[in-house]
Amino acid sequence: MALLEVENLKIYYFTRAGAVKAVDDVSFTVDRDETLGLIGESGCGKTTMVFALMRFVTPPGRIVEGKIIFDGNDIIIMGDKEMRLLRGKGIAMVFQSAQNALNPVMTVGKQIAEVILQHEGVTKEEAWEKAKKQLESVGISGERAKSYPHEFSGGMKQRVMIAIATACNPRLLILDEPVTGLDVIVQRQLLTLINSLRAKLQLPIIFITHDLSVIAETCDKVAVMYAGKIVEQASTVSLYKNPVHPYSQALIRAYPSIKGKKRELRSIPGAPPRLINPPSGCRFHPRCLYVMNICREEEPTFREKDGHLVACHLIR
Amino acid sequence: MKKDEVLRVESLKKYFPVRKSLFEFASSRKEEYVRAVDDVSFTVREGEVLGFVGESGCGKTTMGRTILRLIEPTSGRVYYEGIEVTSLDRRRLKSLRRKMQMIFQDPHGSLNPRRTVADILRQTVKIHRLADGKTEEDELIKNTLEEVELKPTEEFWNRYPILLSGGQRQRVGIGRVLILQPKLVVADEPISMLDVSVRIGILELLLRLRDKFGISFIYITHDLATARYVCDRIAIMYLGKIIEIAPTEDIINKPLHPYTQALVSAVPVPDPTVKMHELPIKGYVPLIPAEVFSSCRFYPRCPYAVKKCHEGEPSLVEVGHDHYVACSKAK
Repeated sequence: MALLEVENLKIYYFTRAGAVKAVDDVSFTVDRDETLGLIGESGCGKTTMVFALMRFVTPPGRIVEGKIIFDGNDIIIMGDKEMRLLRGKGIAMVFQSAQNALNPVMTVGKQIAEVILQHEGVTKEEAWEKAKKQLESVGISGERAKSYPHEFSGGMKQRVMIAIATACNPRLLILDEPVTGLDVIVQRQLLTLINSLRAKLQLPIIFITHDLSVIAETCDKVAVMYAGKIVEQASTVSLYKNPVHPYSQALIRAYPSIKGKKRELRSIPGAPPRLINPPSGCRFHPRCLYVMNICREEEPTFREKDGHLVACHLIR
Repeated sequence: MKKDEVLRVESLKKYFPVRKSLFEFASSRKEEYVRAVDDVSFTVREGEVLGFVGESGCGKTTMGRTILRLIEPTSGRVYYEGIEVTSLDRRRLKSLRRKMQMIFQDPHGSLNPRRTVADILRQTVKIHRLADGKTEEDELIKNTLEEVELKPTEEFWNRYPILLSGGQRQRVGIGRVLILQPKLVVADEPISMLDVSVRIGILELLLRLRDKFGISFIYITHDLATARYVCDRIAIMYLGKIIEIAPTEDIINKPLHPYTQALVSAVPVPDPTVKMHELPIKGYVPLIPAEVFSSCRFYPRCPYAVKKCHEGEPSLVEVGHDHYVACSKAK
């Protein structure tokens, strides 16, 4: 059985203007030895979806329907106490923009030790020692445990976030845009760290990003999200080589690369839709190059093609 | 000044004083400066897109703003078509600003939320007295909106920025610049806050305007991959200095400065079959580049550093066709 199974998950935000369907009928699985990349543009629902895995969705947002089975238990119906034990120990998350995620008036060592104290039956001293070790495991000297977040650069703050997330050996790690907004050299150093941690700890990861190249360098499997839905799932190599869904194709064609010959890029016309009133039928149809009549009327279901799971009417 | 040069920048410097505490003031400690732009010289040719690439804090934005005198330079000269911009008085500067414009990074913050699209453009028309009477104004605004592909124009005319997507807002920002018919535009990270799927559309628009109106661009970015797509030449900046400048494909395919090499190899590639390799350099960019450099400023991180690098700061030397490097080892 897979480590994580998400089935028909729907998360809506109930606003005065109507329900915003941020995540609409999404299903996927993560295996014990797998890194899943979730890719999509801003506002496509990627962050909302992983927030649900930690049960962080708060009003006006609500999980309307679906199941999230983690290691045999449904997270959605889990008690609050159990859930608290699961966060950090079962599933840990590195939030977007470490800048704001760390407590500015607490030393980083204390912030790491806090998680350890919560989950492991250890003394304060032991937790502090472990915190120092954690810092070293992400490439920061243990001496710096007494420093405050403002004394670190952006890349180092992100390392601290990873140290906190991996402090209690979680069974699943979620990284939400971990390298966005960092300089390329720092970015590369972090990606190297993430890959080495993954190999060392045998840690399954869900990696959220809008950056195709970051996924290419870290993930085994990719799910492409568009307007609250997953439109294609495949292995990374296969998706980049033979994208099937027109949106995946367009996304890859719009992405510049520094390697190889300079190839022509093509933009996708239009803009991502607002999720309060998404287009009928296939949500990508107003921007799709191959749009047919059926696309406007009927929502496509998942079909398999060349090992890809694709929701598109083009596939018969 | 050569004939096809639009802009010439000579030894441009911008130092920001570091604020001192009262105690330091009383002990009359020496004045310290952050050398954001430190002795930068280059030219922009007509119809050229010159990219400035570097990590955050390398001074690329300050440089772009100093050229337009949105920030006053500490020293150095900027010539626009032979006119010295750095010594112009306010009135003459204003009339020259029509020719030198800027596109900002944040399309959400750079548009007035209380004005409609048409009014945002109209304001520019009024300030620079571009039109006679309302009909002429409307005509000009309409044409500009069409030029930046906000069509049909009636649909966008009375909309407020909040009702536009990021890409559309950036198009308004470009329209506001275009309506002045500038010759030189400084584009500061114009796509970094936009969605991946609409970025290329904005770049295509910039290139089309270049071809159609002969506008030269200074394109400031941290992203080498997109810079490759739009720039004719790329200048790499490190701690306030240009350390390498060359035609785009030379920078990408045969970078000579160790820092450029590191930068190029650090850019992630959207191809899962390409393996990541070790970065050739270690460490971080110093947080506050305040000290005076008597050595090459990349010296502490450079894998090839020798004694010579410590002795003096290298200047830009031509090593190939149009290819300049500031490194004593690169030949």
